[in-house]
Amino acid sequence: MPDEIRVSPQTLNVLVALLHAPADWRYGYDLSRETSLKSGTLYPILMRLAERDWLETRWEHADDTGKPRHVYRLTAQGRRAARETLEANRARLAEWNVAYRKGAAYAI
Amino acid sequence: MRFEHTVNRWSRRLLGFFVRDLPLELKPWGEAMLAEMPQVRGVFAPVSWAIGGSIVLSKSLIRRWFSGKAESSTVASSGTAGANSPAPLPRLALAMLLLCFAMLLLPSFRQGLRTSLESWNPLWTPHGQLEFERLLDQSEKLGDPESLAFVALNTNDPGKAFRLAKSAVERNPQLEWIWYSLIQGQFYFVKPAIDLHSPEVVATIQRLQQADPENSVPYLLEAERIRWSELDSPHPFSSIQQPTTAEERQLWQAWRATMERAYAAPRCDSYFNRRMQLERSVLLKLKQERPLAFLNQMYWLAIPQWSNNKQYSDLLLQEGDNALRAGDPNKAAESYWQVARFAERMRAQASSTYERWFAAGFQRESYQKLSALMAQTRQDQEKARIDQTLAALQQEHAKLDDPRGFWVMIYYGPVSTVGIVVSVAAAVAVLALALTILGMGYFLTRQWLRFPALPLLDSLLTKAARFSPFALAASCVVLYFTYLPYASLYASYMNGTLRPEEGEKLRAFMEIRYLPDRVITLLGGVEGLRICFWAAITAVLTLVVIAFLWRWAPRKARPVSTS
Repeated sequence: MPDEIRVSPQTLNVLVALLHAPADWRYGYDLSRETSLKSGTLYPILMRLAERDWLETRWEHADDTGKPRHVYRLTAQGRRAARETLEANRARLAEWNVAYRKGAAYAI
Repeated sequence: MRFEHTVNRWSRRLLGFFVRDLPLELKPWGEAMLAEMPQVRGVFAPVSWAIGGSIVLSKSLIRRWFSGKAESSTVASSGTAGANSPAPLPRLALAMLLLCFAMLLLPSFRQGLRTSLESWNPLWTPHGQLEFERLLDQSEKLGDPESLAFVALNTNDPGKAFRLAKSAVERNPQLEWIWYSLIQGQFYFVKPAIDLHSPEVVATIQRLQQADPENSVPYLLEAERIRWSELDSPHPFSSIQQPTTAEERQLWQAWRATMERAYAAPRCDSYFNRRMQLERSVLLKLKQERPLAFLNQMYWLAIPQWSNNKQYSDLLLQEGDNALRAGDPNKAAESYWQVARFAERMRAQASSTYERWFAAGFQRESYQKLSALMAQTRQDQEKARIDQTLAALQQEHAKLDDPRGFWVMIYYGPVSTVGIVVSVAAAVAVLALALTILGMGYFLTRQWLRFPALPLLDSLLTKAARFSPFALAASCVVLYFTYLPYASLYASYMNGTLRPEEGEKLRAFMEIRYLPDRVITLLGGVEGLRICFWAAITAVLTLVVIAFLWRWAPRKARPVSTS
């Protein structure tokens, strides 16, 4: 798999969210709320990250409903690559967050 | 709360519909989105989540279908993947489809495709008639004499045609000639739509004669009217040559007197060029592009009155022969020369190839008689001049040497080979498009409608979907490049810059509008074949493609016996 990934502001935001607590497994809907991305935007990003082995996935039974849910976290390779990518695109992410997310920028 | 629950349940159903039959490598992502649905609260959020997810899955499915990723080991290793996952299309197939869509941007391509499809049969283009009616309404609303004349000459309603023609001529007397086109057009039908006995028609032809007294054509029209109006039969002339009753004798005399005036007139203008100029100027005014209708006019209007002329020229030549047998060579020469002079004028002033051919036929027949007569009367110098013209005629019109004779040309028009290629390319394009839609439609609906996989059908339609785009692109390219010269000629004609010799090439394309006469004759003269010829070609091509796909479809492996 190629390591290169299309670096859109939305992808950067997903990487930021996944790096907040890199060891934790995250639900898709939680990521959606945290990044304010709709399912139609979020899941293609997750699929691309998984294709490039930046993201690992698994099914786990949720505590409240007991039904299985898909969870995600960055792989070791993904964490390294995500940090590099965010570092290289810091200015761009900040600019985008100011322009489109009314200042609710993430701290990297 | 209950409403939110209902919304959430229906949103889940929507997303579940797309997830249900996803191929294995996409299914976990679909189920992941579906598993989040119970957590999504509110009224709009579940709908948004479900719609977004459905779009993502559909796009991924289509992208995967074209990119060929289904053949990856992940899918192939799954036991049920083959049944659930259609074979992917190569990227090149997608490129071919995009090329075809891009070609639709080329005006010449669109014109060629439309013209070819219309040419199969006007009945297959249900909007054609409606568009034509709209065009006529538009012309009528313009209200200028040319537009009124255009409507009069193109409408199927004889009453309306006469009313509008009268109005057009009143506004512009220069358009008097349209009466010729209007009435002459009736003779193409076995049963004319107008009453040729009516005083209005008789008076109209007389007015035309007065308006253009030196032209033989209005007299020819009157002679034709006499034949048709008095003898209600498709072959009225069989009896007029030998009139038996007093009434028939009177008719014959009237007809003959009119033909004498026609043959004596110094000009022979069939108004063909004026008609085409009128059509062209009105179509340009209306910004209409109707090559097929235009070419159709060029074809039919180019055919001059034939049977009337043939009847009279035969009569004169027969009278000449009789005079010669009676020992009166001067009278014989006079009869022969009447035909020859008229044919010379007709040929010199012809507006179309057909007119030239007809005239050449009359001229040749009369010149052959004259040549024999000059030899008999020892007028060697005159004979040499006539023979020289005869030789030139033969060279100019080699088709006259056809063993079936001059008249064969009327029924066996030349057919443009390139025109046939254009039509076949259009037929293949339609077929390939149908197969592409069928193949793609089958797999897309099978993904979502969950009906059992049919291996043979899968195999055939996969091949159809994979290869049809190539056939479609190839046929579109062939259609474009073979039609391009015609599009250029048509554009030149509409701009008034077309050279006369190029007009023949343009006309040749139209002659494949229906099944060529030559083929009709070979197939036993069944007229109905004209309509279904190109449909039959398409059907045959379909069968060939199906047979090809069947032949190359992978067979189910038979179990190997281990006993």
